[in-house]
Amino acid sequence: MRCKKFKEKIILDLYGELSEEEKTALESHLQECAECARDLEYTKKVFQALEYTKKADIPEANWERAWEGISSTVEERPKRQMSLLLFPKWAYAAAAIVFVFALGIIVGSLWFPTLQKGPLPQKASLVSMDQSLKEHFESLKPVLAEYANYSPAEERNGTITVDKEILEGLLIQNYLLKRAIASQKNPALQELLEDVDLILREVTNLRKGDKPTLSLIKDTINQRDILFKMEIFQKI
Amino acid sequence: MIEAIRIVEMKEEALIKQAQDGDKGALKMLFEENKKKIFYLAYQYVHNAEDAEDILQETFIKAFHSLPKYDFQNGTSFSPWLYRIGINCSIDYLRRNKRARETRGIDDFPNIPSNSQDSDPEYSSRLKEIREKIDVFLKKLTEKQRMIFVLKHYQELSIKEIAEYMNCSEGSVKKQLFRAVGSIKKQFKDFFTENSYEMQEI
Repeated sequence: MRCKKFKEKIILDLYGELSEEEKTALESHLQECAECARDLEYTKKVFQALEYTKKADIPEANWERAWEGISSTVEERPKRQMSLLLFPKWAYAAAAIVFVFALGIIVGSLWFPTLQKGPLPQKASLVSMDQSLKEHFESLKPVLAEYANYSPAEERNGTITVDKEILEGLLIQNYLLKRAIASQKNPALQELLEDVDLILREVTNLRKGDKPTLSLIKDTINQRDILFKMEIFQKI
Repeated sequence: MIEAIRIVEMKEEALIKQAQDGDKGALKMLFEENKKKIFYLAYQYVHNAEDAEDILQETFIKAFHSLPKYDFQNGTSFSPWLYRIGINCSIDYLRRNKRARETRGIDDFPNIPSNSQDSDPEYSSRLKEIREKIDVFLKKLTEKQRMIFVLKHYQELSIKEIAEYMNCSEGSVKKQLFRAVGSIKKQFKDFFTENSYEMQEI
């Protein structure tokens, strides 16, 4: 019974799950018990064999096909939202009256601007959008400059290391800003964010030592004047 | 680093809110960020790329349909939430397809990483034999034991993490793990006896 417990401890020990105290107890038992010492050696041998399955590379899935399968089921969601029509008609009529009433209040308040104090909320949101874009470009600049200045002649094993979490953060921030400015009529800014999106995706998927892609990223940043455009935008 | 993680969490929250509104671009980004983690887990569990791809799809479909119910306030971030769905989908998949899978083998064996012994056909054939044997050994475990073994051995999670993902006690995880490793050890004994392999040489 005592040995059964120690045999379990052997497994936990090989997985690094024992406390120092438990480890010491196991070690002193192994010095006294030949059967458990043999079990340790055998378990190590089994773990060693299992290591060979870890060594096998995991194949890549067909990501495009997998996404298509997922995305086709997600499209059905808006149809379910149509169930709102199941509300009685009078509910829609009441909602329409409330809406017209609220619209009257908004139009009235705009019609008499003397009653308006402080900046309009919409303006405030545009100001904060500009600020977010400037901060986003500020975070992007050092990362993109690193790639823009990449030289294949420099022996850095063909690799630039940027923290994955930072890259993902930038990618998501860029995506959200791109969506947020979609309603603004600013094609130059839209295009700049599209380009940045493309570059960040390339950088995120970049494999270690992939010099051709590094050069491609560098050329895209330089040929499309990404850093210059960001600088100009920050100064406007 | 902590600051970077905080920023990522904030962005993730915004992304999920977009996805909850049915924004396909946001859903695609969530897929892109998490696809490998789920696929690797599924592959290590079923040892077959086609089945792992099915599990990947089922996991995301289930997650995206449950997304309106996903709550930021309960402290679970998106990836662990999705991972838990991935674990459950893998177990369910194996239960549903157990009979069909018994007749199906593991993938062909082109996936051994470069090694100086690569060109040695004897080495490759031994490795293949061991891998196939391990697949047979794993098939003899229950679905739950097998998942706990995969989470511990291949995904290298702690007992505590596994207990949280599997929604059971740490004691129960240890019990299942001992049974799984015990069963594999027992089956390896016969294999080692039949084949006087010196593992160090492989």
